[in-house]
Amino acid sequence: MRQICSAAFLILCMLSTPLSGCIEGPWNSNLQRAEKDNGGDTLRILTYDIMALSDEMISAYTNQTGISVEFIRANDAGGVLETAILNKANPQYDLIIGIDNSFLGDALAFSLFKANDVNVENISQKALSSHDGSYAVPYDMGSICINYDTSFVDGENVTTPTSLWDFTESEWEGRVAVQNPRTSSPGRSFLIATTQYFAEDADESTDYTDWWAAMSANDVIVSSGWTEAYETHYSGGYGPWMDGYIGDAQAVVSYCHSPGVEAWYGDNWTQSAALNLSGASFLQIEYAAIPNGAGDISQAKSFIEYLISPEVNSQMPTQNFMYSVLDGYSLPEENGYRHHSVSPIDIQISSEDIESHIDEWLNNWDAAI
Amino acid sequence: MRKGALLLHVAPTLLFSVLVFFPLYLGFTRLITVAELSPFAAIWQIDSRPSGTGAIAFTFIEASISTIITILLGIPIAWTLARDNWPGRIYLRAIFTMPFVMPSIIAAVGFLALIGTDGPLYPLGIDLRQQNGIIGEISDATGWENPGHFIALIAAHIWFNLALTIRFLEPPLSNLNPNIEESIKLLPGGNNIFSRMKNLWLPLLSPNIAAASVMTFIFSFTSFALVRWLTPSSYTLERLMAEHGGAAGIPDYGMGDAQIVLGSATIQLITIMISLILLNWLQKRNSTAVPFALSKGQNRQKPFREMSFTSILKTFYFISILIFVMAPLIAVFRSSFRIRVRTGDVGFTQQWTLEGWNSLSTLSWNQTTITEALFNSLGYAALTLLIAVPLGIIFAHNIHLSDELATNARTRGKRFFWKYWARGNDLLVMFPLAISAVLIGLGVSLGLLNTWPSLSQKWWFPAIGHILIATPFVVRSILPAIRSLNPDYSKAAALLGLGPIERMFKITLPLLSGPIVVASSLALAISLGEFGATWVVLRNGASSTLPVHIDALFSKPGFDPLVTPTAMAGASVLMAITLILYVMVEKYRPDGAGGEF
Amino acid sequence: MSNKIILEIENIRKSYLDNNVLNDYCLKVNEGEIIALLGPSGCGKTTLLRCLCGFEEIDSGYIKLTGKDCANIPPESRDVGMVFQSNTLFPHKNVQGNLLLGISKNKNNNANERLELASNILTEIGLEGFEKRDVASLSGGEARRVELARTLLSEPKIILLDEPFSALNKDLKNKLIRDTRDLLKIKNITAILVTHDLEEAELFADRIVQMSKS
Repeated sequence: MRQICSAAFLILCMLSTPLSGCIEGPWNSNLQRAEKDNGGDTLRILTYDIMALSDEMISAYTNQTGISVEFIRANDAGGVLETAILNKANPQYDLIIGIDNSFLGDALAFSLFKANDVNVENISQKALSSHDGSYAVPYDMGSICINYDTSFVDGENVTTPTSLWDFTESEWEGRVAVQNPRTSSPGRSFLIATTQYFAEDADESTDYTDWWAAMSANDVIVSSGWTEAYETHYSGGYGPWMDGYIGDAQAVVSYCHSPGVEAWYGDNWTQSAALNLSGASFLQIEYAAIPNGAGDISQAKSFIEYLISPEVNSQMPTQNFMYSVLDGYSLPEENGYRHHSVSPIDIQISSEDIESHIDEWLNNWDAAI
Repeated sequence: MRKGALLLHVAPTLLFSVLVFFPLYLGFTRLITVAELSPFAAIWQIDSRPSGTGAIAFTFIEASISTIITILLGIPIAWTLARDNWPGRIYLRAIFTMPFVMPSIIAAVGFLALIGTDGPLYPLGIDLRQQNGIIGEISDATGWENPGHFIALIAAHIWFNLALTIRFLEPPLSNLNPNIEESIKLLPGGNNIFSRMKNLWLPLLSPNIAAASVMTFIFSFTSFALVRWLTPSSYTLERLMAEHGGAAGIPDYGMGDAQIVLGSATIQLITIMISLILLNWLQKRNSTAVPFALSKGQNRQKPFREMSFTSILKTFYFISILIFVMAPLIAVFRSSFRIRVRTGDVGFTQQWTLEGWNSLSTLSWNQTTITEALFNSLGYAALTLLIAVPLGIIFAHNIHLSDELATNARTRGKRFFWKYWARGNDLLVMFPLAISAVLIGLGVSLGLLNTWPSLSQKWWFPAIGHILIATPFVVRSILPAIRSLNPDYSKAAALLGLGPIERMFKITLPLLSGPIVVASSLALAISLGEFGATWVVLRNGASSTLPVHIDALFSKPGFDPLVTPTAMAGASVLMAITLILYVMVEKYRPDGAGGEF
Repeated sequence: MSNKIILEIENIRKSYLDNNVLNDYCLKVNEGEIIALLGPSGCGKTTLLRCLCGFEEIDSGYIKLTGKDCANIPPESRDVGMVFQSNTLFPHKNVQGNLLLGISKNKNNNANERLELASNILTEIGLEGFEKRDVASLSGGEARRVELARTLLSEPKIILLDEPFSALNKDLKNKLIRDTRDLLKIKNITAILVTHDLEEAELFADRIVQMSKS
């Protein structure tokens, strides 16, 4: 045991000397690109864990084109971006799916994507509002806003908030769950929404940092991801029937159509509602893009075209719980899916603006919380 | 020493050192570069981040409390198992120590199921999740938020580590020559229970208590899956490192993450180092040669008396522990048959279902079914078995041989060299156990993957971590057996004309077949259940393992009621395989190999 | 018993750290001769045997077996047999399996002939029909006999016996000593017995060599 200690100590001493510069940026390493053995019949897609293209959709694609599909998975949208940056010089995949507009600016700044000429004329203006599709093609979208428990907001003791400032009142103390914008993409989206909301509201003297500081003082619950915030903390959704449920939050950051999904599975019943507040929501748009190092892009292009074809994209609300990006397809009316979803007026911001400010916002958020 | 033998001696040491230290070195270098801070400066960054606030304090507090309670609960079990002739005491011991081989994700979802609204505690009015009932009163009285989470976490840590106390304490208690105890009773220094405690039991047991405490502390300190699921709002350093490890290696992007990870890793290494120094000091201070009973018949277990007050008390205690040990496992299995169904005007209810099991191989969220993940896991386990077991056997053989060479050395120099070569190798193979799984995973992902990203596409890649973590267990299972093997067997075989290789395969390995089965089963169980390292490594794409896939399913939005029962069914499969492996371990475990897992 | 010298030990030294165990030790043994090394424990008897087998390297001097210097020959190639103080019958094999390990395969014998050799030697040591017996089921005396048989089958030039009789009770011991001696004499095999028991040595050996602490 003494030897274990002395060795551990040695290693520690070794490691604690600042070694910066000892190894020359291996992320630039020009490793010989491994021969691709896929011949041309396999399409390799980098995506994250909840990318929900059903098996039927994939096998239909393979049947139509003769191209088989292989997935390389990362944990989440952030993970997709990290993997893409690390493999930038030598991508082992032909297509990247799942980077959203809150991360897109970073991806473009790292020049991860190759320009494509996919025809986007069927895609709605709303879906192209953040990026025109030249590097990344939108395939689904949904607005992020605050959801609340209607059994708590009963209109008597607690009234429906009409401003985000209402959540800093004592009746909401310790009852709002948000996601850490550093580890969660809904959290990041909502942070972006707040930066714009408070810039455009009537009160010139305060901005988002004041609101976040007030929220922090009001014991806002910060979770690391969407699942924890929604399932564990939020009392309005399906959380109460999950094992890990706490139920200390009566409002949570989620999608504006999450109550719709609740109703879809809940036989047209839900006690959750989305807060229809103008300028306090962020339209999250998810993209498919071709990595910059890719060789032959025809297969990847054919998959993107398949993904935005009406037969596949119209299925997004039920397969992926997101809106279709095509004009003329809304949420299904069955089971109250559409009825329980709201479409507030989202903030307008380009992915370039997000990229240039996100570090500042994140740092200010850290400081405020 | 012949050339072949020399190669056999040096090659595994070299290979293992490279596998352990090279990724760690690359990883730390990378972190320091990205964080733009020295490791010690990075420590001060942890508390200033929202997710890291209070993490350092939380880690130390939960690990200390877990350790103290585990030891206090474990000592009576070890004492009674060792000294009373209980009906079926071997089976009881096997059950009490079983959680140690269970995958941590099973413990996590098991305790989740226990404390959930569909669990057995909820109808009793104990709700560890919410601030109701007793928990609410505790919370109101102390101002402590969600004390139930903390209680659940401590309970899970006790569940997990009770085995260590039992395994470390039972052998000295049951093997002590009874004459020693009898004679001290006749002396003035041992005529009452307290003086016997002071003069016999404490000096006798304290090295083992120290060992069990330090191991429990380290395992609780580096807890990840349990913390992730049972105390969602609190972070151990291990969880911080795992969840911030993804972006930490990217320059101009992951600086904040790199600082958190670097700081956490530094504190963790220092703490583990100090724990081990403390252990060494305690063990040296108290290492008295224990006069053990030589023959088996010599130790006397007291017959179990049915109606005495203490035996009723002990029975009650044992039954409670038995329920405690079995409950999370039963809860996992039960939950795989429960589904949320819409009912009445408002809300849902839980009903019985077989759909979770039906959808095991068919329902594929994100194109991986649980069956596929299981086969990936089995592949990694097979690879771990094929590499870690031979490697561990060679290490155990080398360590034993070096010890012998040191004993028979002709010069002081040689004695010194072989003694430290043996100890050096011993410490080297134990090192992956002392540092944490996530740290190993980070070494692999930040060190190797960030340097050579294309490695992530190699299917065998995640197995590196499994091999590193399984090898210490193989060595710990084989080494005592090799040491207790009559050395004359090998000599007699040599004189019959069998060469070194023939001796190895015809004599030594067959004689070690029992311990090898134990080691192989342990290696398989550890690989199948490995969570922290795989979770970190698999961030960057590759084939998911069953524990990681179960974790991913639980992280999925659960709008679809089928998610939970399917995940629980997958967890039940993992649990069943581990149980089978554990039965193998117990069946072939050599007598008296208690202290070594 | 001829006068041809089969084993020649000349001035060997062996020391561990501060402990000189063998100091310029010499011994010559004739072919077919049975000798007993008699001495108190710690006088280096066992060390001498270990050096003869090749488990220990000697510091100086030489050991010659049939005229050849043994210095760099590993134990398995020395043509030395040994019956150990402890039971070394391999527990994972039965009596026959243990005996077969003693028969080298590279000679002109096939599997059946090897089985026959094993059966024959069992008859010679008075354990006819013991082939399939589990070694754990053997009595102390039977186990010693099987070990001797296994050693004989390997056709060594010299057999070393390291107190093989010490754990047996007296009646059994004397019979086993006589049987062993007769068998060795019939086969004309050279043997060295190490013991601390004068009676045992007198009963077994042609010549007794006294060893004392150096």
